[in-house]
Amino acid sequence: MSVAAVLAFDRVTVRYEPGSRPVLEGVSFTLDRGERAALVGLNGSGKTTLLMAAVGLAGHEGLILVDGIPVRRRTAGQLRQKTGFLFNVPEDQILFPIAREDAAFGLLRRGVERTEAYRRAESMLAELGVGEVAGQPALHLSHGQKQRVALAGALVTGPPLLLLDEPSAGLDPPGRLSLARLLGRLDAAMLVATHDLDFAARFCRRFIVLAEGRISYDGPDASVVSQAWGTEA
Amino acid sequence: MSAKTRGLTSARDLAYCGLFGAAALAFPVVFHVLRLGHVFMPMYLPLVTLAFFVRPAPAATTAFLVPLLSGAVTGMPPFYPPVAVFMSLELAIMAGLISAIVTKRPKVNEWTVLVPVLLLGRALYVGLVYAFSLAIALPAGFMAGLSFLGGWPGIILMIVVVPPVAKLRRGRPGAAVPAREGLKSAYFDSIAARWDGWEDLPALDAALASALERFGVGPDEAVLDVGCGTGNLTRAVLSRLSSAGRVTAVDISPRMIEEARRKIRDPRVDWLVADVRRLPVPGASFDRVFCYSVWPHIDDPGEAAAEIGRLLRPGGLLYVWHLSSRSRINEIHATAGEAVRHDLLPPAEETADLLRKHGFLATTVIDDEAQYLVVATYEGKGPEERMEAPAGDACALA
Amino acid sequence: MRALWHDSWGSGRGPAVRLAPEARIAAGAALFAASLAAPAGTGRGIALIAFVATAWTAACGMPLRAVKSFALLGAAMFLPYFLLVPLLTGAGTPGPSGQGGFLSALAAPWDVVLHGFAGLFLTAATVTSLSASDFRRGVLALPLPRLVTGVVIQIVHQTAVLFAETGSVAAAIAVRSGSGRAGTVLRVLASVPRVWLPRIIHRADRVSAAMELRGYAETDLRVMGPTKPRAADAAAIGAAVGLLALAAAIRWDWIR
Repeated sequence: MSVAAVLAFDRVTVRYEPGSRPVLEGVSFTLDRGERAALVGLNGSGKTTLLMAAVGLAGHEGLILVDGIPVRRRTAGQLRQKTGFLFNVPEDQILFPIAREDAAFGLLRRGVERTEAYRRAESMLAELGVGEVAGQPALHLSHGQKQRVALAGALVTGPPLLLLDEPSAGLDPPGRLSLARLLGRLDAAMLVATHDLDFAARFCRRFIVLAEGRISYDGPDASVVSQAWGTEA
Repeated sequence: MSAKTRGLTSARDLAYCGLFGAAALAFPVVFHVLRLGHVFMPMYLPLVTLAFFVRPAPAATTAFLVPLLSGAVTGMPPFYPPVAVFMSLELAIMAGLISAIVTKRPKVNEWTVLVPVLLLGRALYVGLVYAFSLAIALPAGFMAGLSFLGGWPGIILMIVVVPPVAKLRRGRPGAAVPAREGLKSAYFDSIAARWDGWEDLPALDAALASALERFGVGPDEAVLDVGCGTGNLTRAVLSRLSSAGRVTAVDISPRMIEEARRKIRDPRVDWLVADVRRLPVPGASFDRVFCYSVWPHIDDPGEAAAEIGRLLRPGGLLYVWHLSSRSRINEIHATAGEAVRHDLLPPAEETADLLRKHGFLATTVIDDEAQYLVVATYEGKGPEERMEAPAGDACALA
Repeated sequence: MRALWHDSWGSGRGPAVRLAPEARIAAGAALFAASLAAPAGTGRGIALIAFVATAWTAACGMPLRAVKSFALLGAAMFLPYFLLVPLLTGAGTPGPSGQGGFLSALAAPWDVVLHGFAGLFLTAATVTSLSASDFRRGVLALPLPRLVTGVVIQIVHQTAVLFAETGSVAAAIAVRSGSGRAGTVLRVLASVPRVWLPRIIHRADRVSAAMELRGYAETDLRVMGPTKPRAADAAAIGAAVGLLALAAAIRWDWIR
């Protein structure tokens, strides 16, 4: 495994039921530091499962390494510091009523002093364009704002790897453009599960295509993917 | 992970309690708006369902708190007369009982648990109403009778609605993995690198080889090695197999599997970090299953026996096997570490009995100074549950 | 009625609102217990109950319209108990005076009515003094078992998510029910196990995944924002507990 790899999958298979068809089969790839890849596939192709396996929430066969640490129940604590995650539905991961509280949680957990934690949380929120709602109840914000609050919470601890599950779903076209630009500005390595090629192409240079649990294409050419789907890149 | 964190409410319990608790607050509101009123006891539905999904303490706590929260937030149920408290007690006891039973016996039939507990709960509630009415000189019999009659629509609804939903608890991501398993795999992880150093490997290889010869392991067989550790038995089996033979080697310790993979590079082996009770392998896949030096470490041998039965083809063979005496093994475990201190091997006859209960025919039972061996043939007639594949959503997160 | 309660949260403007939220909750609970403990049958008991209920309602600064609404609510909930009087008179034994039967039959419903009203106002007043975030902070600051705190916080949070998200789910369902009462009942009841509960389960799985990833369950939220105890809070709680002790003393005749 290359030293620069921040995420590595080695022949990973995931099954949810004994004896059933595997949801992921023999998946292997590596993601380098700072690299942004789009994980593309139709619904049911296993994209979300792959992300879940990467954070240790899906039992798997094979080896998964995050920044050199093997993914297991036991290493969950260490892994938490290496990976930021953005869920499909931001409400699922916003656990505190006020936006800045939620964003600061990751820091407070690590023992960062209270005022410092809130300062960093607010500056992260501002960087993501939602600074002015920092003191507001997170649940009453718009979908796009909620997403950015959740993203702030994930990024505030500076993880080298960011996993995003369908981030463009639920956003209108200007919202999608704005999010793509924002993600393009970040340093972290990224794996973005999406079926919106257009959105992904704006900030990703690598496309990993999943079909029925297997990788069918892994390369820089979005047009290959869109040809396969019969859509325009 | 310190000893204290072991008893913690897990994320799963907390999330389920929060959501089902919120639902329990919301259902009465929704039912009221739909003019179904309280007759169907809408608050009870989510809380009774919750009990099938989380552990007893969180289940009972949530069930106790919801009526009180509801009383404080919406004024119903009222604090005086203490209907809220009676409901809290009734629900907490019901939820606690259901959860305790389901935790102990995960495969129990939902109706078997639900009906008696619901009736018990209602009896308790009626009793509380009666006692309270007596205490403040209201017509106790009248009040109790009202409560008794008023409960039936809700109870019937729960009996109909809850079991199909409760079935969804099987096969949920992260479902019911006891905390002790983590300790055990961590223990074996920590000794994996030293394991082979403790063995006289050449002598062991010879002993295994001659034993496998006696057992008559054939060249084309599919073999399951449970608790394969560093792969010593796996290697011995492989040397008897042709290219058509296969071994599936399983262990709960990832480090052990790593060690084994380094030692043995052979395309005929599938290495799995998994629990024998939950193997992602189709039924009737194996001719032979070896539980060599692993049986005492399995927390629930009955469950393991049931699962192994599923995995064996009818007429297949199971070996519970140690190349040491029972007393020596138990002595070693007692002093080896907290995680395995209680892993004791029962007399071979007891193991044979357990296997018989799960559809096996024990053909060899040896329990002496040199070895411990139970060989059993799988006949295919066992408890009904074993035939049922885990039901419910295959994948909630995909 | 639910709107009444929902709108009442945090609407109070009295001096009690200046106390720390946990002090408000603790004092409210102690006073509630006091109102239950005091007997409704003696003059002292009645006086204490009335005093506690009015004093706390005033201290929390419940708005006048809320007072009126809760009074009406109380009347609707508790006055019907007087309808039991004929039942009780018939079954009751005559006391020393000729009217004994009727008076002793009044005793029980009166007990419920007095305690009921008092309890209602005490709960409502406490609710009035707390906003949603006050409640959350208060629960975190109270010395409750960690499991209890965790569950309460989560229930409150998820309820807020539910309300923010769905707005009027019930209204939407109600609008779709054109097929008459029986049809609606069956449809709603059938959708509980097939739609609503499974949805809750799926969501719970996702939320628990998020909690695991963020390390939420292992963190003791209570240590994240410790507040300093103040004299006013201690005094308020002390007074409330004192009244509780007084109520108990009256009930068990410790003082004459």
